[in-house]
Amino acid sequence: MAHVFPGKGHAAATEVVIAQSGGQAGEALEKAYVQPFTAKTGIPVRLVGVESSIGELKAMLQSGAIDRHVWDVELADVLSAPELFEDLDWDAIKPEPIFPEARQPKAIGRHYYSYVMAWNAKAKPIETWAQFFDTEKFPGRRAMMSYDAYAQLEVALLADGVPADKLYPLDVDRAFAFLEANKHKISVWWDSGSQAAQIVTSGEVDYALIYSGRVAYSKEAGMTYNQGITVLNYLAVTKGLAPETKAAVMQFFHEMTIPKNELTAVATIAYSGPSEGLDALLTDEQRRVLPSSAQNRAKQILINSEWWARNRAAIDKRWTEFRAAL
Amino acid sequence: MARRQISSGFDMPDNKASVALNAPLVLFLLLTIVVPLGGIFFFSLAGEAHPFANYADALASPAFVRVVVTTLILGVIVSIVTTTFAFVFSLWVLRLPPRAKIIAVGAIILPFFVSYLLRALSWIPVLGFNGLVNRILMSTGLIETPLSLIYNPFAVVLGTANVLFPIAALPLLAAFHKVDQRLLAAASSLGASRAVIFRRIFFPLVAPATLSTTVMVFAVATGFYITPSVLGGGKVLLAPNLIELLIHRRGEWGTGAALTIVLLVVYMSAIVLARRLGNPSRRRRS
Amino acid sequence: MTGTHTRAARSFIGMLTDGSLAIAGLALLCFALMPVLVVAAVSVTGGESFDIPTDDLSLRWYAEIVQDTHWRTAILNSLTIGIVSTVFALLLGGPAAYAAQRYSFPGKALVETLAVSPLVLPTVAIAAAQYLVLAKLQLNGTMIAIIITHVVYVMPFVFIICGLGIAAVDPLIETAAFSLGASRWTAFRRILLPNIYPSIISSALLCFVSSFDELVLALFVGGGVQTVPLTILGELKYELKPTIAALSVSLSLLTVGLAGMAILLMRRGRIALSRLAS
Repeated sequence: MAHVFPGKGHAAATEVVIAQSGGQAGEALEKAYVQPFTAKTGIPVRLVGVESSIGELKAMLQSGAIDRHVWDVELADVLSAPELFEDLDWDAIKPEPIFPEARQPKAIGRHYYSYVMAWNAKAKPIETWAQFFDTEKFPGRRAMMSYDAYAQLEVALLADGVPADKLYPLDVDRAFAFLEANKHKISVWWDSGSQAAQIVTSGEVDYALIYSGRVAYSKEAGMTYNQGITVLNYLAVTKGLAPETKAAVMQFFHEMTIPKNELTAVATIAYSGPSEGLDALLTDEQRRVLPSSAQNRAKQILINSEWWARNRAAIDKRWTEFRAAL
Repeated sequence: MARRQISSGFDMPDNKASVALNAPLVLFLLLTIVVPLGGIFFFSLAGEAHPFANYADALASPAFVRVVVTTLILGVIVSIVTTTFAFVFSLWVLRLPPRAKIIAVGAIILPFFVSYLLRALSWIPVLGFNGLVNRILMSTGLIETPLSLIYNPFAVVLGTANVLFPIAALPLLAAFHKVDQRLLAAASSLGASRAVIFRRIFFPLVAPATLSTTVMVFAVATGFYITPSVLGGGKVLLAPNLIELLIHRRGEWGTGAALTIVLLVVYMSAIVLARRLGNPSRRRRS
Repeated sequence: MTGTHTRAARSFIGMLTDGSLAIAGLALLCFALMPVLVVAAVSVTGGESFDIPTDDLSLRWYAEIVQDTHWRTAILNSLTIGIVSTVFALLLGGPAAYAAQRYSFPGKALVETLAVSPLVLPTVAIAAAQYLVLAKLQLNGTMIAIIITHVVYVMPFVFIICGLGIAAVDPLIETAAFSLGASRWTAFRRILLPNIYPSIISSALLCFVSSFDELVLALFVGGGVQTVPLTILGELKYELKPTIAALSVSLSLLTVGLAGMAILLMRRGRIALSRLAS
């Protein structure tokens, strides 16, 4: 079997397989980091999968056949299930200067994205989450995200008047009470990033909570990083990976810390890497639209992954209940 | 359902030949259907506290119950709408001249060749805010501002019915064509009105096929995964989506398995019930 | 519930005149064809988004398919899975369909129920169950896993459609051939096959198209294997481009073309065969 389908079993470092969510983010990963890595080392990298979920990783580890080596993950997932992931060898990675949150024992920062408020060009611009829920002063239809409470609880609490520095630990009951009281204002609960962008740029809704990258450059929609919830997306390594493959992966991770490579990535997708040197290379336009430029970092709140790691399972259940009653 | 049976005349004893012909498929399906379903049943019973802990969890959650009920209600609505559409369409095709008949049947087979995901997505340019329908309505001056036609349960029903329409129309067309036209002509010559012919002769003859089509549409509709999530605007959470979320994305196999078994049981009872409801009425009419 | 439904339908349809029936029929035809028309229109848009073109038309999305390696891989994977699944479905479903039509044997009803069960049971339930078993067999994330689940998924089409085809062939012809000393293989090749080839082609076509288009099973057991529907799903996450419309139109034309050719070839073959026989 192993010979029929390359990548199955404990292969030597002949190939690195990365499970990631595909689309433009995968394209950026390919152009910015995979190509220079393969050029230097001669080791091919294969990007697979659309759903690089923890469920998939668990199933793969239970089956015992490691066919995917690197996973596109949230830090909270790594912290809540550390037994699924290998420790990174930071001495081998030899990173160029990166933001501290990007350097984790079991994960390396890949790019920042943010949950922000956006509006159709015809609607009145807003500045705060309180205004997002204020349908009297800012009339119009609203959209939020359907599949997850992640970052949306923060949004609810900010809208309810909790100051940004008092956000964590999140008051979950208060957040759900606020969402329960305001859910009638939300016309569409979107199910994918493309749908979120489509509804706000077409005017199907006037205001939307949305991933920053989807409307950053849009002419049909406006957005602000004010009170944005910013998330650093990570890559982590499958537990029990063969040493040769792991060594190759560490070399690959080094490529992700090089500012020039991160600049290549932001040409494809409006999500920026964690290099401290990136900001100096950006144009003014890019500083305006990218989530981790110095000016935008200051306006936003970095999600607290430790808190989410401890509470995610319970909140997932509660969110399913909330969602089923929409 | 009377099928021509030959029990003699073939040179091999029945049992030996049929075992040889059936064995590969039966073995394959035992391994790929029966064992997995048995396995998921086993998983559902592997609750931590007691064997039925996963079921207790599932049934104690209002969300689970609501999701199963929503799925069944949507299945019923979609199967009625789709079968009605297919029934009317088949009735029309039945009266078309032969050449037009072939074109009409060919036309409804065409969508099979377009990706099922795309068929759901294709409603966005039609029903969306800047979509075709709104553009037409605006240009005719009927409305001032565009209407919100998509991302609601209506769009889910429409999208699902659209995918299932050809699947329902084909068996109905086949059944309609089996009706002996001379019977209808005879009734007509005896002075029966068209409504009477339809009600007393035609409909009773096609009722079994109509019922089985409805049940089949129900079966397929309750398994739909992508159409509701593309067109529902997040307000229509159905069992398939929840099962995928639990088992595949979150890795909660126990509760996911329990939900799968609950869905299967509820769903098979619905089919058995439909058959029961169908049978006596069929007997009464004939 | 079904009772009131049929009663309502009966009186409603009973009242229809020819004119209104024609209007309803045409409207339903448009309804059925709407997605095909929309996808065809989107595929030639000059714009950037998945929308019906308003002014400029372009064929650049067709060029995009050929250039993009991700789509190429996905198409190749889906073609392989579709063809292999169809062949296995024919090999497994065909003989069983023959047995079901020609013989009576103990457990026949059970076998028939089992054979159509993949069509009747919700796909997601089967997918979830197979996912758990294939994980144990260490097969998840391989093309083999997708093929196995797809053979199960499409086989009922063969069982039902070929079954109908076989039923339409008079068994006495085969009996006559046997009595004249024909072997089973000869009887199959010379008598059954020429008579049921339309059923074989149409079921094979249905199998292939269904497998090519299948999302849920591939999503569960496919792991890293990119198929066309999984790639579309990945694209949905960020930005939906008209490429998928162009891809869908090209593939439909290809499938319809291939099917047409197969039917023509078979028809010629049969004519040649009947000439030889006479």
